[in-house]
Amino acid sequence: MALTTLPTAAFATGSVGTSQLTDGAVTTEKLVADVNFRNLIINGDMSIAQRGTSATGETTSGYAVCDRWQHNASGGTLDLTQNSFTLGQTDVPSLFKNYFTVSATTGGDNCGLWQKVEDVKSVQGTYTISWYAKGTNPNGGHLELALRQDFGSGGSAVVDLTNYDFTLTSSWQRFSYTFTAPSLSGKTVGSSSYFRAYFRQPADDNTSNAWSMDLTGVQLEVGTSASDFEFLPYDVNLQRCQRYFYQIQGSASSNTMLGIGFNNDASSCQTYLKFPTTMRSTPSITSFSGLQTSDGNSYTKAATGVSVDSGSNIQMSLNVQATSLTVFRGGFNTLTNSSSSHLALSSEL
Amino acid sequence: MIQTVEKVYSNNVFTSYKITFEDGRIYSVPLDEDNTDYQAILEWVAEGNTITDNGGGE
Repeated sequence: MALTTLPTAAFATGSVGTSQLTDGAVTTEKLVADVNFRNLIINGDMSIAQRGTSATGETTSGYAVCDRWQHNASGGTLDLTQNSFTLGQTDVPSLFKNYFTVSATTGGDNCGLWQKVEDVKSVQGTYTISWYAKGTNPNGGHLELALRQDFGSGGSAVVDLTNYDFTLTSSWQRFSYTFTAPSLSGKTVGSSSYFRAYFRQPADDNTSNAWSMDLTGVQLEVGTSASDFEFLPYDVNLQRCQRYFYQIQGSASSNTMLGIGFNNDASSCQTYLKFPTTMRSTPSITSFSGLQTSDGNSYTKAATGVSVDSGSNIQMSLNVQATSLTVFRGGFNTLTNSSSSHLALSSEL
Repeated sequence: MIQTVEKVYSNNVFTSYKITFEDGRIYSVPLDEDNTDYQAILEWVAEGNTITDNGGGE
């Protein structure tokens, strides 16, 4: 093996100035290419799916499979699946493990998938968005990427950018689109503003034909060209997703402890829950299954409901409802031993 | 689409909203103006809908 001698001499202080750097010698792309966390899209590699790995027959708007990716059926019907690449595949870089299949069994204008990047002020200047995709197209022959500035509750009216058309084939392609976000000068930014990237059946294509898109490697970064996709460790990716959605998943082998507290009244047991990361806002409780309360003595009761008592973006006091509880007796809330048991908290945009 | 919104009390203190959607989903929504479900309730009320308030009494 050849050894490389590393230079040890340093540039003398002040020896490299602007006269040594000709115009174009240092480009934005060169500076950005190795910047960590340059991708404003979270879960662009579709590796995190806390809610589940598939959903079928979706006819509304919501979050169902891959974290941070919201579907919008818009008159169509969507099947959604987190899929895994075959090991050793070479169609896309081998570090990709997953892709998101959005299958419109019935198409419709605006039917598709978007991600909202928190805070409209996050995207200012010239950016490039890139993605890997394959599949089939709506009857109009192509899909479109629609970009929007949304100034949030109480903010200025939304601003739509120029759409970008792209055509899928049966082979993976990497697409990219460079754009300049309109100036924010004079705008009012309200609560929960965002920048949205929306992959959809075009707004002017209201055909109902089926189409399907496999999507992964979505990256939104500053500059005029797409750099290599930035892969993050799974735990980092998960924690970034948990800012917006946190699901405590039950175990098939044992109960999952949620918290120890007391019976607030005869119909609820109050416990405290600490979130694994700071959430965007105080979250809503959006789903639960297998929730139960117990005094550790004589009974375990299935919950009839659960509600937020108080909370913030780092913790919550929740009331798990059941019947005939003994007031002020100590108790605890758990998820029963089932892999389908869960408690879901959402502070999505 | 929101079907109903109800105020939820704990020990006579108003603590959250309960949203029931037309598809049967139920959310418990905190009193946080940055929460988008809370914002959706405000929009729903602005459209002329009424929040159910059964009070906090036992």
